[in-house]
Amino acid sequence: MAVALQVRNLFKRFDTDQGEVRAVEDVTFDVEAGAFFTLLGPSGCGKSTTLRCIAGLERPDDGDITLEDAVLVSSSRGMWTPPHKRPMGMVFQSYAIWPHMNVFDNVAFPLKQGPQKFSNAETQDRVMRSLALVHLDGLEKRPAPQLSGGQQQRLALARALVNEPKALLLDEPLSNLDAKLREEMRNELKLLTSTLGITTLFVTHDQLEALTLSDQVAVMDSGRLVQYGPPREIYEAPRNRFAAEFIGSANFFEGTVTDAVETGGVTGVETEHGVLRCTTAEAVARGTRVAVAVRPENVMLHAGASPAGDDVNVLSGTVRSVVYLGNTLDCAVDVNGALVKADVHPGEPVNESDTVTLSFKVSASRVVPVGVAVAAAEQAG
Amino acid sequence: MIGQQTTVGRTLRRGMRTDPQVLIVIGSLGALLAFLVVVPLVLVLWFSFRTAGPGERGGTFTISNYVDTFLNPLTYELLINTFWFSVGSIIVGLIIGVGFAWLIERTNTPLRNFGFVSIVINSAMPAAMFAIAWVLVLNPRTGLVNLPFTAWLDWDKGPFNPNTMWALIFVEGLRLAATIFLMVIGLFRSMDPSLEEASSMSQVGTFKTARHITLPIMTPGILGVVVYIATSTVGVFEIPGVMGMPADIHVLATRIYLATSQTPPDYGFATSLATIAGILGVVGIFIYHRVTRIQQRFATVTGKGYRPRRIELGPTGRFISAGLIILFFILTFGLPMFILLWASLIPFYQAPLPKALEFVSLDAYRFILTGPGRHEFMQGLRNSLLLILVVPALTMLLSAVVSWFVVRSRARGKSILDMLAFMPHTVPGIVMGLAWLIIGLFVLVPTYGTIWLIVIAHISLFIAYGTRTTNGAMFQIHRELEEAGAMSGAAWFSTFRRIILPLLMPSLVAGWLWVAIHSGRELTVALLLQSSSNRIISAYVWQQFFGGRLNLAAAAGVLLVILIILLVVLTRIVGQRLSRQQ
Repeated sequence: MAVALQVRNLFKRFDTDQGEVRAVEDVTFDVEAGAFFTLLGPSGCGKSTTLRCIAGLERPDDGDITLEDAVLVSSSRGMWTPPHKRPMGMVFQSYAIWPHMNVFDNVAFPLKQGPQKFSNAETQDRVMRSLALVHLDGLEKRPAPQLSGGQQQRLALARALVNEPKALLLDEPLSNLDAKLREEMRNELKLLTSTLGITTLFVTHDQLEALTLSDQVAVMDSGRLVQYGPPREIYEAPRNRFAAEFIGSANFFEGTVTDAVETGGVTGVETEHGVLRCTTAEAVARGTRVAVAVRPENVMLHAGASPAGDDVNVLSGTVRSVVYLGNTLDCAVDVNGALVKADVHPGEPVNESDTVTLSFKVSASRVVPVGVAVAAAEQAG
Repeated sequence: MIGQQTTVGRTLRRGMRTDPQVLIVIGSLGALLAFLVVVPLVLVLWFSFRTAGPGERGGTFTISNYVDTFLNPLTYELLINTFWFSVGSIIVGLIIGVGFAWLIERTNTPLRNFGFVSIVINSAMPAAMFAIAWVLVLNPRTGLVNLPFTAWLDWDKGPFNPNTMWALIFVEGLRLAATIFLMVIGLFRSMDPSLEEASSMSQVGTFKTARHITLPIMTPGILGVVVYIATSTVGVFEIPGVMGMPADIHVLATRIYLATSQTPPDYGFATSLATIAGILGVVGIFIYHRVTRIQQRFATVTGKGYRPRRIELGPTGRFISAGLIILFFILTFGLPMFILLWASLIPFYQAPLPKALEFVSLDAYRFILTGPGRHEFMQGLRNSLLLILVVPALTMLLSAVVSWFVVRSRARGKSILDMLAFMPHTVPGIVMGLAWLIIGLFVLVPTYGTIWLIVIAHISLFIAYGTRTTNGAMFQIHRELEEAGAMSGAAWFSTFRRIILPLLMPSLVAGWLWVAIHSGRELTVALLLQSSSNRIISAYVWQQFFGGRLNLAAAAGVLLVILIILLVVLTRIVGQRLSRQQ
């Protein structure tokens, strides 16, 4: 598929009372046409600022942004397009529904005041279609402040889509909804964007939203993009400690690489618990300090008989705590003084102070570099 | 666990309601506020229905004061004058104030900080001094603006005259511009910037966004500001007093002042006019509350606190806006201050022309600081300093206690307490002055003629502002901080002293300085209550000006402005220090 949106070497700094803040540092990514692309990260990681640079609401210090062959920002050529000249729709975190207008007028505003002129009949027609799309038809005469949170959010979506933008920007649109409504809106959003086939940029700090909605997820930390790829790849093959910890949770075993391998190979890592065999996404050299990341749900517990084989790592330890969470048992196992987390089926007969054998597959043991976050933080100053 | 916490909370609150300490405090607070606020106003109303004035024996119930007032053609002239004065000055103030708020907050105009400073520094000049300066500037023969006509064209008089309604409106409008600016800039800042950003993202340009989004959203807020300001202009005394009264152009406030200061005083006329002014004030505040309720309907969840983008002005636009900001500074501070300085340096006023330079001397300052005039001036200075020290301290302490009850307690009657505290705000200053004059003559006779009567009157005047500040701050202090104090075994009073007061401190300091500045420059009440022994500097300036000793009035005025500027600077420094701490 063709690339719709290109972001190249984006930088944005803010001067605050506490000194300079590097909100976005050298961010580069492509969004394919019609894809649902998510910027994921904790608050303050620069994801919203990146989105606002794409929208034109912030002016980046450096970098290029291109949307379908139209250059929106190019620092080398000194080009910058103001937001109202960019063919994009946006849904804000606060929804930004204009309180002095009713539902119809909110949606009609981009058509009436925007660059293209529409006849009254066509405006009427487009607004109604847009409202029907988000199931708000019948409410068009309602004053905007009288809408519920969920309705305001649909209205914001209808307004963002009404003049058929080339890209849809969503700035944490689900974060102000309660849990039940959020799940409902999530499904609707997924359905709507895939039906329309619109290129969508979504900003969230919620890993579940990112994993369920996206075609591509970009994980950000301290202004930098640390990894991007399909959700499954992000979850199963995190490339660094931050990505592994921020999305889901993970056990880490630090050690040194025993054999040099190429991309996607299997190597051994010498740890304090012995050599663990694991999979690496990138080529690593022998002797490199790395960590092995293993997700708790990939750790199996066995009462006695240890499963053997080339494709599993086996450790033994003592169960320290068992917490019942309904759908899983959240166990912490003491292995030579280190606590290893394991999520097992609630039917498993695990009790505190049991001596157990732990096993996890080599394919589920991922090599991640050590101290990436530290190095990045040092660079960021 | 959750159930337990609720029970604890509930017993705690029940405990607060029955705590004898609380009962005593709330009872005495209610009585104190009633005395400060209700008694004076009731007395005004009472005497408007009596044949005998305050201090006189006997008298019976009568409606003749109102009959006389409404049969008097003067009354209608007054009301019409007051109406035009209010409407005119609000229009002038609105155009300048909103325009500047927009320029400074929403565009990239040069001199933004300077514009801000000139607004703030304008508040350092008492209104009466501002009016005196403009009388000198607009004087038909010697006024600076008339000089081109009299000095060069050799006309007998220039076209500008301070003793006209137009001049009153212009000068009051300049004063109001600063207040309107500060209120409107708050509106600009509290607006959710994403409302405008959403318009940009709808491919709508800057100008259309301003017209279709920003302006309609701001309209209820600006309307609220207009009603609020209108309520205060009904009772404005200083500028009409200095510029209108000598030419017999009267508004409600100046006529009330005249009625009480003539011999014998006509309290029937004064109190019935004051009642009318009071009713206008209450109606205004009622409308204000309706309008702000509409405005609250517009309130939306604000986003992440991004500041709105500034509109980029072109080179010509930047040049013009910089010029306007400088012009505003000249009109509101530079020119009046220069004229007052000049007037204080020459014994008999002349236009500031080179030929007058030979008369320049510091005689006026010498006269009031070390010469024969020093007793009178130093007495005024002592009284003013006493006000600046005592009034804010007592006002803010009282405000803090009242706010605790209004915001925190479950005690019945707390809304009455809040209403009482806010009431002085609805009443024009001149009415409060008259009310306290009556108290001095009738109830607190021993205080009449002392500075303490002015101290009490000022507390009642500024308690409305004080409680608004502390109410806001009290809402910010989480209830659980206080409940933790109670759970640690501290009684209500220790909790208040050890937990609430320290947390309130930044707002208390800010409110303290605001009250100090306003008490130090207040004239209306101080003038009505003045005698030979309790005159404060602003009243001294007034007395010297109308006594024809312009150089003394100007010199004292310049010293007062310097004193208040010091307070304003202190406010800024303390404010910055406190905001950095947080």
